Amino acid sequence: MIYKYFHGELDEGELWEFKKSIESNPIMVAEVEQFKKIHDLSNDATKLDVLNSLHLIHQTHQESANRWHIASYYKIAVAATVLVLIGFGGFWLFNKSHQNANDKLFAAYFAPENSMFTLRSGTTNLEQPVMQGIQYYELKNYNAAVDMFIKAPENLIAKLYGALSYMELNEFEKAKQNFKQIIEHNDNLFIDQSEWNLGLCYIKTNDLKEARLIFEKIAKENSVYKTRAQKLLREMEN
Amino acid sequence: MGERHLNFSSDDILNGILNNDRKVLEYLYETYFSKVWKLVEKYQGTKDDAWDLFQETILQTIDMIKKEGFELKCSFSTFFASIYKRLWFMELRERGQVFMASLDTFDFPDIIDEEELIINQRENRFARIFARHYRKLDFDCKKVLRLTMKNIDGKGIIEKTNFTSIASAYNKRRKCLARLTEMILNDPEFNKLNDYEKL
Repeated sequence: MIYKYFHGELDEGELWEFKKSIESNPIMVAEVEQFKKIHDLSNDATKLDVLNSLHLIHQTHQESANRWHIASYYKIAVAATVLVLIGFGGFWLFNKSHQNANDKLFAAYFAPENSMFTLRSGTTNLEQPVMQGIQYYELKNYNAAVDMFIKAPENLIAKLYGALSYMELNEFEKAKQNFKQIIEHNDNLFIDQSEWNLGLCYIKTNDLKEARLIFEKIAKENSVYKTRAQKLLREMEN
Repeated sequence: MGERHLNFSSDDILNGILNNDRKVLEYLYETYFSKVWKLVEKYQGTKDDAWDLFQETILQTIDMIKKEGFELKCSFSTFFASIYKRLWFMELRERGQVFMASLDTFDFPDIIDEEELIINQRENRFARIFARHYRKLDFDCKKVLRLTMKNIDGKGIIEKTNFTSIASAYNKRRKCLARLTEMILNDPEFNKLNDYEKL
């Protein structure tokens, strides 16, 4: 009815009824006014056009802002990944270069122990497994040697040659444990050898702080390794 | 009046708004929307509030420019800022948040008649809602409504559309207006408006 009224489509009778209902019904009055407003606005293009243009501009800016955010997140993610890779790469290269330097030091100073010297300076009264282990050691069968040495856990020569065997097998943590036990025993002839080789183990495992400490100790004492320790320390500084 | 904004003088801006000049509107959006948003945000408004305020400021500007004897007596930026600051102050007052900001702290020159803003605001809120739903109409609806808004007669509408007769174009317009009215009447923002704003 309201649409027809606004579009002049009511016939005389309908128009009469419509006007009567408006007079008696305030809700109807409000509805008619609302329709009038919409009708009026639908005839005014200026504001509608400007609002539509602004809507498009706003939408475009919001989308580009979102794209920028996504691009930013993407860029940040890529940058972070690159940084992490550079970090890891740098860390790896740093470690690798240090490891290479340490390996060179280790190779230059580590020498297979002369077992005969040790045996003479230690004891001639050796347990069977220790004797067999030393034989395996001389034959460079380090795994078999270790298997023998662990059968004599209290024997310091077995500990020493066990540690040297571990070094040959690149099991430096086990080697360290053996050398530390010999040093802590503190009443044997193998402390100098153990300290020296423990220091080399620290170099090999990139624990340069501990290595320096132990070589500085050796360099200050009257050890057979004193000169070598001093030289090694100088090389470590380079 | 002679103030220039990049390539636009104040007159260029005023004419650009009236003529729906996309470059001028983009300039206004890029220059002022962030300022409007900054003000609104300061008083705990949302970005949607800022967007509504920005649109209403443009609509108020149109109302003032169209007013007989209008003359810009300050820079456009001062004029525009006075409108959006005053409108936001009115909004805060309406929300009962006027304690957050006294008129003094808003620091706007007394060049805008608040009564005039209030009268226009009723129309403009409704215009925003109208435009929002108009955009949801299908292409033919928007076209036929736009053509009638431009006072194109029935014959002209047939020439510019696919309608085969004036009657079919007229019926389409009628249906479109009915659809638009229905959407507006069901709009939550429309129903929040005071009765005098709906009228």
